[in-house]
Amino acid sequence: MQDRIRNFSIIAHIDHGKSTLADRLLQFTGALTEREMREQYLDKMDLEREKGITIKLQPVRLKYRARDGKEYILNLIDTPGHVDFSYEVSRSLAACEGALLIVDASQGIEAQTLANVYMAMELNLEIIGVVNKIDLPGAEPEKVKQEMEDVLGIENSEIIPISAKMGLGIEEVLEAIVKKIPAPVGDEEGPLQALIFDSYFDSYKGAISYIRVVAGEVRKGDLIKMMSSGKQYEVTEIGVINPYMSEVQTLKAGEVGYLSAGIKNVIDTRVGDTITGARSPAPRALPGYQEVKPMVYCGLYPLENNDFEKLRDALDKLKLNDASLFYEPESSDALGFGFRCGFLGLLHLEIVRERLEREYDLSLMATAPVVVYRILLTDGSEKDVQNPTHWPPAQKIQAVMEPYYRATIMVPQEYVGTIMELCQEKRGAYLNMEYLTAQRVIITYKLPLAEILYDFFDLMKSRTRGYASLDYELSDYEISDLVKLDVMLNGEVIDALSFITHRDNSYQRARSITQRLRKIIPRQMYEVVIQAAIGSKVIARENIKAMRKDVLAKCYGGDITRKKKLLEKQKEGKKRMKQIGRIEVPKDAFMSVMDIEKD
Amino acid sequence: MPVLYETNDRGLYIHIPFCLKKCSYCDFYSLPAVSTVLVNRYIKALQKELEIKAASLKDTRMKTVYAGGGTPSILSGEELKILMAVVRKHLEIEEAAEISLEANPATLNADKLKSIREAGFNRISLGVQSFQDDELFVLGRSHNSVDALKTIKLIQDSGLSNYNIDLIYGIPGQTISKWEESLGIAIEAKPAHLSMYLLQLDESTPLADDIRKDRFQLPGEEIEAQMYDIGMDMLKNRGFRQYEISNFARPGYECRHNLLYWEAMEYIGIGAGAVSFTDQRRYINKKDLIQYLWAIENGRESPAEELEEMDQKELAADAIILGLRLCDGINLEQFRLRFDIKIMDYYKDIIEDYIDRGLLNISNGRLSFSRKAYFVSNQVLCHFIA
Repeated sequence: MQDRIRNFSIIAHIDHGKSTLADRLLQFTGALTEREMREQYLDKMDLEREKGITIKLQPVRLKYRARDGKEYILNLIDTPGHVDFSYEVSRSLAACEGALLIVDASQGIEAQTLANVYMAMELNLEIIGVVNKIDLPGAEPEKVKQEMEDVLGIENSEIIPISAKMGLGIEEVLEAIVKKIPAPVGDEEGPLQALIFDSYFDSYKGAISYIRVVAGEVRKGDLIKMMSSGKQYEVTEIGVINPYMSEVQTLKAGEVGYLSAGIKNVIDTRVGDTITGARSPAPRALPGYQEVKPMVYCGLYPLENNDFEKLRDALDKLKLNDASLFYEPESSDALGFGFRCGFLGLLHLEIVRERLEREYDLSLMATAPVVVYRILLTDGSEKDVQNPTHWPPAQKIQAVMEPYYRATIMVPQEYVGTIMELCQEKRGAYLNMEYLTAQRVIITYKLPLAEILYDFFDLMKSRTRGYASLDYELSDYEISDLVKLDVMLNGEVIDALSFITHRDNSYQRARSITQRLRKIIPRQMYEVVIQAAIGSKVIARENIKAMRKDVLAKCYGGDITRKKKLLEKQKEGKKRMKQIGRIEVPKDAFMSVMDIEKD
Repeated sequence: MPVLYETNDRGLYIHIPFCLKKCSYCDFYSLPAVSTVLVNRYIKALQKELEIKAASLKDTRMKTVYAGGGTPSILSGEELKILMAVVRKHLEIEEAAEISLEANPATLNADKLKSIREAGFNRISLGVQSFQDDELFVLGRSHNSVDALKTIKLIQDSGLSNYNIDLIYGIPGQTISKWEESLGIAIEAKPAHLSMYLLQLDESTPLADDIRKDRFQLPGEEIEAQMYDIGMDMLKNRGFRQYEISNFARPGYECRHNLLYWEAMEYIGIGAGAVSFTDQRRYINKKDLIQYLWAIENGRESPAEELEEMDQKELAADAIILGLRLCDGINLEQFRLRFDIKIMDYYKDIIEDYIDRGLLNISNGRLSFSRKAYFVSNQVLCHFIA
């Protein structure tokens, strides 16, 4: 049985065509009829379609009759293509024996390609090289193939040129999967070990886990145990996705499918955890399980104060489906009651925020994202701070530490100087530089996560005209000279606008935020003074002159209807404002400490 | 002090959609009055519309009549007489009614003024706009400052003392001193009433387009606010009482027809594009002259379409938005009797906040804007939108 199974993933840098290839594989193997074919079938959520990225994993089982005349079961495990979700990528890869590595024929290898390939290599996956988009005018498949051989050690002649969009080379890919990727070899008789590589919440069935059975067998009715928590459940349904959920009687070693066991919350089916039999458990869990910790925090507040409970319900619901989302209630003088929320990264933050607004019809204000700072206090204790409001007074701080990331930047050699300069500007520490080819260089720096979140990525892209690509992973915490910057409107500190910055950057950041606020806060009926201060020392100041004119000069019987429309519009506009004291602040202002001056 | 109208007292508005030519800042519907045939058809149509409406207005007395436009004074003396005779035939007009005619300086002469008086008009509103020829040019007016002064003299000579001068400020190229000069000349011309309007351009007007294309520049918010302040001061010092955001009068010469709008009373409008407000509804007649004529002439369909039907809350909101335009504001007790709403309770937070900020006042049972609120009044008014 296992010799007819192939489990594989597709790895690629963003936009290199992973989802399109997945679609073609579904189409070619008849898993979807033309009529059912939607573009990027595997990317279910609207947001994913819109952003053109994959957030959630969708395993799918394909049946393929190969040229050798035999029918194979191919389990495709799609992976998210963003660095925020690299842990999920690693667990998906761990569920496979092989991976298709897609590289864009005009872009070549990029930072995330490398990161993913290294991850796959560490897991001993068989890698099949694929050069995609060979139909495009700028395609240089031969050059890219050579690069793949030189850099990744994938033999040039084995790399398959395809165009997923045009449907070219799809069968070659399927044949390579069958021939090159090893069949799974798991002990079917031994105790159950199943790796959870994703889970989601279904309102009828509860938490559903996507699993790869590594050893043993699982059946409906079995009593199972989560090895991280010891919690036990009875399996209510197992099945495969082809690409619709189809119930099966058993899933055996080597197989991929889904499992539901009346679990109320995805927190109890954590990605990376091992499922085993409760009666005869496996002696050890599968390797590599980690509890994922949020790296980036921000405050989310409802624009309407009485939407607080609605926001809580919405977060509770999202959390059912997103074990990595963290939140706890907090309050702000300026914004009222809300939640401090933790995310894997900025993209994760943005997705959650947008889903809350769209799917739960909430109007939200978000404070600027912050990393988790570790503060050594003078009394010798240590304190983690994810909210600038909780920053201790200067005299109580002995030292502050912030998270540093190991950033891998891939760049054409003419931009090496530019990138090094940028990394220095952003408080980076040089680690390494390596020529991949004569033209492509890989530079490694240690950078504070706060700088990566702030504007590093945008600056890197703009200064290299889009040619540089970035991957990063947590390195460690280091001591930095950080200060808290407060923003005041007409003399009042607006807590939700406070942020942490390196002392050397404080003047520039203070100027930038005050100027930014001057632009986005509309004129009010009186002058508004915007100040930025460290402690009691004001270091930047702007003012917004009072509004002088807002009147309907003429309003008679004939035009009151029309004039009222203007006032209605104005009333709507006020709804998008947060009233702080007597100042109307646009709800987006609280994010604006993160925005860079673009002009 | 404005009077509370009895319920069967109404105002009549007559719209004359013809002009000598279109002004560059105007977005009202009007046509050049080139065809006497068309003008005659229009007067006949007005007659017919009056006839139809009169049936439902049996017990109604008109306290005011206002012929506006367009340029009503473009009609000949004879036509104006016919028009008013028809009005009198179908509607009861109060003995002391205020009967106004909007006029353009380029359309009046001694003879026509005589006819205007004979037709029964006792008030003229003269669209002077500016006494600076360069500003008049920018506005695309068909008269110059000399024409305006001559016309004013003619009006005075005709024995009519109740006339208004319209002025505009915030015109591209206008300076504070030129505005003061125009105002000074206007005051010297001894009008009983003066309206000064901030130039506010609809996107669709040619002047707005010129400004978008940077051919002209508006003076800007700061200067405009100063011009408004200066205007209020000058007029006050010269014996005018400000009774509305943009309107000033010698005591007793407030425009009663317009007061009726601001007091949210009912009115009948006839003619293309005219608005009526009766039975808690606003109606608007077809704006397009030809469509209006067809509707009236074939008599099968109403020339009007409904604009808004309002419930008590919306009517009250309208009454606040209009009433606060008046410097005397709103009589809270009368308002409660009329709409069964205690404004001070219903809008407690908003009103207290703005009283606190010095933009609203309460005195003698009336809620009103403070002087410094007028020019930013939308900031407050938008809170009252239902």
